[in-house]
Amino acid sequence: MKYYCLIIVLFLTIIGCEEPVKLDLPSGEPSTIIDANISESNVISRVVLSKSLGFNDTIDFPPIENASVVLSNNTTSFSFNYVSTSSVGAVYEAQNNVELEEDQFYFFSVYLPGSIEDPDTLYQASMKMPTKVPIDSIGFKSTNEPDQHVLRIFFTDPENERNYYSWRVSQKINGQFVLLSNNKVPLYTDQGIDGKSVFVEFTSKNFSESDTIQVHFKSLTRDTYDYYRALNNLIDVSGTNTSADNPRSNFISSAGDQSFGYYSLEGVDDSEVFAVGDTL
Amino acid sequence: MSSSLLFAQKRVKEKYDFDFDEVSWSEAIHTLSKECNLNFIYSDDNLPVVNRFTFQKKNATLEEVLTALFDGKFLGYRMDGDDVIVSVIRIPLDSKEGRRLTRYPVNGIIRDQYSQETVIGATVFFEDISIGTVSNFNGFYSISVPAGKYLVSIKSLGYVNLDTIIDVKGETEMHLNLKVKETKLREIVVLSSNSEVYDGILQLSNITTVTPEATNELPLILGEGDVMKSLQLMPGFKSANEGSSEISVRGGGTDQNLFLIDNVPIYNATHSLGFYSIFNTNSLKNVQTYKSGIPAQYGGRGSSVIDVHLKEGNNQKLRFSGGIGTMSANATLEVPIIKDKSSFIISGRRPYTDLLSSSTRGEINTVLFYDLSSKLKFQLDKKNTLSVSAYFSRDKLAFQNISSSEWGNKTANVTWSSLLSPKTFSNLTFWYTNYDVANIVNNIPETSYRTTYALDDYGLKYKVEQYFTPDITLKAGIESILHTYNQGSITPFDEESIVTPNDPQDIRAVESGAYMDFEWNMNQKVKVGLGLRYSRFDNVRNEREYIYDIEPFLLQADSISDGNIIDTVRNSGISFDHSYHNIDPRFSVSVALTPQQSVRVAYDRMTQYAQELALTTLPSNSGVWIPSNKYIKPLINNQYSIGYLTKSRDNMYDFSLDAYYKTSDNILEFKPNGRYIVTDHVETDVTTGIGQSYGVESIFRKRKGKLTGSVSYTYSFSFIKIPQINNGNWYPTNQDQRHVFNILASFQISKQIQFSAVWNYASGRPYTAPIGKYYKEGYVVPIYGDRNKARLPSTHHLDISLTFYRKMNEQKKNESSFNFSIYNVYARKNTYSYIFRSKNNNPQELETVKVYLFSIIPSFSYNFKF
Repeated sequence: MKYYCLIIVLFLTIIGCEEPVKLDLPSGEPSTIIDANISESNVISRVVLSKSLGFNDTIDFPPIENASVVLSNNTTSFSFNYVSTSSVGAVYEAQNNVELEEDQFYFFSVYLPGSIEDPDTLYQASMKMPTKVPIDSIGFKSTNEPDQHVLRIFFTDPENERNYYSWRVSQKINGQFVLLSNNKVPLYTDQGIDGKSVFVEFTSKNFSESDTIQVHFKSLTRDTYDYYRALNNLIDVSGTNTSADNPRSNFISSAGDQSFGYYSLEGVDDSEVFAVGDTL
Repeated sequence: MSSSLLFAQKRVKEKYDFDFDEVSWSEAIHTLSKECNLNFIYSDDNLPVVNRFTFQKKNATLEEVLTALFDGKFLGYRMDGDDVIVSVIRIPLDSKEGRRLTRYPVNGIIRDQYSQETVIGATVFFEDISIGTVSNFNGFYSISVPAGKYLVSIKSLGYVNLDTIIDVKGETEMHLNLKVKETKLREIVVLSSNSEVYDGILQLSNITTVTPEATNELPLILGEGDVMKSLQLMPGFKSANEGSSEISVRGGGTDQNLFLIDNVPIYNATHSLGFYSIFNTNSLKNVQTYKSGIPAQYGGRGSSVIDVHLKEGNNQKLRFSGGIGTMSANATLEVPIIKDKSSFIISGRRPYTDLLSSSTRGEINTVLFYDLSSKLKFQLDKKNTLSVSAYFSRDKLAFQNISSSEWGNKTANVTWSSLLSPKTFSNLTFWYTNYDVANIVNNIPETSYRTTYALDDYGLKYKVEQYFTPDITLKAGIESILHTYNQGSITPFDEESIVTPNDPQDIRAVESGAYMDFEWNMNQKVKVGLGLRYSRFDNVRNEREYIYDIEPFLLQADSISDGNIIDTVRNSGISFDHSYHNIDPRFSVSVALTPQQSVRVAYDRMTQYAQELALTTLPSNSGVWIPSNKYIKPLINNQYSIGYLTKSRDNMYDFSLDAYYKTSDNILEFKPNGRYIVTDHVETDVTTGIGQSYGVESIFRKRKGKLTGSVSYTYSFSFIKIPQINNGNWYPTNQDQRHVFNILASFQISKQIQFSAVWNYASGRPYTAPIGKYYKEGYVVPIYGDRNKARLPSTHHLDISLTFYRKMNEQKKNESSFNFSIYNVYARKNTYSYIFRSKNNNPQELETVKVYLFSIIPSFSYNFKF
């Protein structure tokens, strides 16, 4: 927690009161949204294309189903095809297993065929693949409540380079693996712990012995880390921020329009699927 | 003889049409002798040269015009036939002969009769010759007058007027003691605004004075009187947020106010969450603020000066005073060390908030603050005084043992005041101020850490006030400050922590200034103030210097990011890296239109070498002071202002109207999505823009009678333009509020009971509204539109208080008062802000939440003195 969040939390718990309201807010033009987290993990690597909505709209995000999506570098390229539509947009998946080399630049392009009114648009972004840091081990810390454990991910930070981390957890619920949601994107840097063996905690949910889970530990680039930090400023809000800045997308559009979302290359280490009781 | 007298009596009744408009005495005499066929017998040397005579009336008698011309103060007349014999009652100071008269300095110190504390800002007015002066921050005054007997009238807010006769034969020392007004006789509860001051003595600055006494009678928030809250009732001083003690003056940022405690600057003047300022009302003597016509002796901040002086302590008797309120208690002890010679005062305050800490999930949240001030004053001899004062404040917030934050100010100062001659007063001050913040992040003990941020300033200031003649005063001085900004150390917190400490570096700079303020009473109606301040800011070369790969002409904060850092150079030894030089002219003219009306015009240029960037709109410790360096230019404000003051003859009512236009260059702002991390290369995270503010301020006051009060209104605009934000278009600042109304009424129910009410109305502040939403990796995220384009609803609230006094006696001993207040009587839920966020139970759905702070809050405070 950033220290200024502390002040805000105290402020709101001690003297602030809240009341849900509905404001008549203006709507901007719908923008193209590209949500692309690319990694070798077939659990969390995904591309979702959609259009933005008005703030008070209650409909599903309009999907963009007819795009051509390609990830490439000088030697290889991977195509992503439309597979399904959900309430948050159109989901695209890679046709082959994506294999990414560290320190290599990869270009990501999304081609939207136009219509009679709109010209074709090409969105492009590039990023260097970060060093993938593996999970050393998984541990749990007991809480004061019976059979409630906090997940810990142990890893060793590579020395003499700046590293940025995030993590997600999926849990088997009713036979299906579901990615657990967080109230904000978990983030960590090696500032102050460079080259050391440390651990981070998953704080959104405690687990019991009977739970079956899988951990996805992500290594990020500095730019992705900055993007998530800016995103967290909007997700974890208190109403007392001096400014609300939209996190800047890394896409450049051939039509010059503004798109939202982000293309990130992530070095993801997926743990084995395991029962919590086995590691305690 | 008797026939000529009879004739003369007839003649004075003769009627003519007169039209004298700003003519000199000799011209008036010349015209009268020609047109009314009169012979004047007089000496040219005794006629006023500077002052002008105005008399425009049709069908007026000769007696009327002659009485106006020779009003008996300096010159009188008698008629003998056609002859008008002009007699000299007192030689006019502006006549040829008057100028040749030897003048003798009359000087002294004005003190409170009971406590012997010096009185700041008292007017000393020589009624017979219509000249006067004002006591300085040491209660000292000096004025030079010709030999003679004079009626001197001394006035000061909260004291009984004193009239005394003085016989000046040579250099004269006249120390004066003023009696505190008994509460029940108090003619004015309200705070002094700029219209207060035109009382025969023209003031060049727009000064607002707030007294602790008046503050304690106003409705309180959370049981604590606060001079900053009182100030917010005056036009031009806005609260930064509801309930906040932070102040924005004339559209300027909250970092643009120079807060001085006994001449020492303060970097953070608010306590936890901003509901209290760091000034404990019961330890204060006087608070004077300047919005325009700011004397050149003040520099370093862009918008205003809030000059706070602590009590010196009673050098007559041991006294104990204190108070308890809903949230906090305070106590003050005054000890005379040697009667009449030296005194000591110590004053402290502490809330009970930690004792009543809120408990969440069995773990404790803490909000705690305290402050302590003390002062020692020695009267070394008749001409020399030494005072030593210190101030200390501390705040602590803690959240469930997970994280905590502490911050505070420390100041100390030693001042030697010396009367070099009866006309020359000097002040040498050595001071120190420190502001530090420590934050602990302890989510996981193994990686827990503490971050610190600290500012240290050492300053030396010498100033001299020279009272040349009653009409000319020169105040000049030099000062130098060594600033040290320690931006961000990180150290392990818990014993188990494996965090490696970082290597923070001190960023040093020397800020120096030389100034002079020249005040000239051209005549009784026109006063001119000319100030000039030269300042320079020298950056000491950093030990660790970053090299950017960018074209030299682009080498400024706007265009560099930390991606441009290509090298780090280690420097050793002390050398200067970069210097800024600025000359700030200050100019003001005050003109008395009539004895009841005056107009003031002022131009102020102010340079500010360090600006504060805050991450939240909450007053807190999250702000970071960023000094100018070769990439970040200093803030420069230019302000043009005009003011009109008028009052009724009986001083019952007064009214003032002020207008201003202010431009700002190099206002510092974070780049969009700035990293918000304190580093030693902060230039990569900030950008600068220009600003403009303008507005009209007015206040009407009723100052006497059972019902007293004021109505104030401010209509203002404040805009900023930054290339990277809103496509480089102008947008309103967070301080931009169109209308602000304050009505304050105080009614004396009986001699012991006073009822006060304050109604505040303010237009909504700007905020950035979302114009859409999108989906990103499990989150629905709002898309925000142009910055500060939308407006929060306007706010208003009514606060009332009842104050009960126990009877006071003349010596002001054993006095006590009880204040019962209700904040927001009609419990309006004023919008503090909106939050646009994901729903707790479903992160894929957004909700809008209105945040409001207080609905109705009753509170009390009890103050006593022994």
